[in-house]
Amino acid sequence: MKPALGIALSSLLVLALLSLALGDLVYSPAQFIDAALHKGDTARALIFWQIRLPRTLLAMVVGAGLGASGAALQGYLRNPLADPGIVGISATAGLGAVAALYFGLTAFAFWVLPAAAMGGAGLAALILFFLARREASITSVILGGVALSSLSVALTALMMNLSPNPWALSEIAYWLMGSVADRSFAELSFAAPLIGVGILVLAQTGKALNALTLGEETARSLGVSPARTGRLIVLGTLLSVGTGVAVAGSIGFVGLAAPHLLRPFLGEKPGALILPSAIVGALLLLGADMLARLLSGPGTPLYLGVTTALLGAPFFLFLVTQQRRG
Amino acid sequence: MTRLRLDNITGGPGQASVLQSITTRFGSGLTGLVGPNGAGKSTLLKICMGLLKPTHGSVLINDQPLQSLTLVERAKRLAYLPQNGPVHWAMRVRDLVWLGRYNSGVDKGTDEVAVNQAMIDCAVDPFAERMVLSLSGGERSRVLLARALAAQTPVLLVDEPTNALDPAQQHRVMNILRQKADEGTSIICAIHDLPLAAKYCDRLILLRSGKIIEDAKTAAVITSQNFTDTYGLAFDKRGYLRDEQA
Repeated sequence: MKPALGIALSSLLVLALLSLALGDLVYSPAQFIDAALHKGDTARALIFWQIRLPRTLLAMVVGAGLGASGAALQGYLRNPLADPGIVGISATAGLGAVAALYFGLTAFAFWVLPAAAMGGAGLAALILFFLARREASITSVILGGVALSSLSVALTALMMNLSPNPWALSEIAYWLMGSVADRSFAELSFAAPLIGVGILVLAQTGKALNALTLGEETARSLGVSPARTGRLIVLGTLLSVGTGVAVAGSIGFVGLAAPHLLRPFLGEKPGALILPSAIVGALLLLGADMLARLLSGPGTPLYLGVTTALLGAPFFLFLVTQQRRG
Repeated sequence: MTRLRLDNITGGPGQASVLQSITTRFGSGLTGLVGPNGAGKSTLLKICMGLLKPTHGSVLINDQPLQSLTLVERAKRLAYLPQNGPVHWAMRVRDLVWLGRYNSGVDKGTDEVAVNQAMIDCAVDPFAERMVLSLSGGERSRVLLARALAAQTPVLLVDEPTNALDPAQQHRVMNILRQKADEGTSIICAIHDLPLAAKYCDRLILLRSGKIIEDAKTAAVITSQNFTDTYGLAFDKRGYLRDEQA
């Protein structure tokens, strides 16, 4: 294993332990072990098992999906600016969720909102599948994605515009800012398998993405079908990002940044970045969530989508200037 | 021995029919496709590779219709080097040449031997560990050629491999193709530079407006009449080419 990957994995482990131990209630090592083993103070064990553990795991899982999808999309589109938002899956998932909130359907059951989000993303994926059916289809997929994204953002804004009351409006607005707070094992057991399968589907495309480095024509002459690769990436993004949006709202930046953070250490070969980007995506989102949690004042929670962009973007800018200089 | 046969091929990119009723066959040796811009040289190569579908006619490789073969089966029989092919990400030379073995379907050891041999043939082995984007134009085109050679396919389709290279590099690239043709590979190479074509090719196909004007041994195609008819150029008394229309 490359040293960079070892560092990322061990940082993830350390951060996960810190995420479980820190918060309004700080656990000492002994209290941490007690809570983990369900012993002693039951409130501490309850917070550990019911609040912090699902939140920590969900942040990691959602971040992993975003990171893997970002790496695969950058490779597929051969564009370092691509992120999971570019193919419209995030925005359409967001639209589905907002529609559920707007029509007040979320009161029926916890699964209605994620299901609506997955429905929106699934519809977008079907359209992208149709666009990806031909060879030489990469431009169609990106243009279709941009159109779907714009349409979804407009429809989301329309629903907020027509929102029946300020409470519904604020509910939609807060949801759109993204969060993994107050999630339970129900959300985790819904999201983790789907995102896991999504990441595996994306990882399947690695070799084809390496060949696409030489352009679509050469890739086809090597036996790669850009159309098939495109469909796998749409499916993988639907599962890994659509599911993430469904349980945690819209979270930008992680998918864009994760592969960039790895390139100086692992090189630019797109296939070699997908799984490592999942690890770094998990690391970034968990870190952003811990900051959001620790910086939040009482009664005014900071949302995850806000912290990822607010802290990540300046750091990313710094990184870009360093690379340009180097 | 015929490896590749074109049977009454008509077609081109999109709705355009660049090629009109092309029938020819390719065996071993180095065949040059010559003719002015837009004559259909690149289109012919793309149809041979299956990257463009002809509107009429068929491509047969070892008597099998190309259309009946999967992309992977085609890749085992034909290698294709496009004109000015892109390299989108910073990649090591060795990794790029390895892409030529993408669908080899053999063990890694055999792949390794093929990659090393292609790098030696193209004299890119001294900078195998360098990044492709850091190379000069000549070095880079030899790396891309090495990628195509690494596949070790019986047929190699090459589109303008000497484009934008200095004269020394042009001869270097053509020498590599010549050597491979002598070793038994069927090479079809679109080429603009007629002196290079005359020096290295066994056979030339002269295309104009999508039709074969002349298809014969090199010396028979490089004639003053063909130059005048095809390019509107003629040799003056001093042996220089001049524009007939000027």
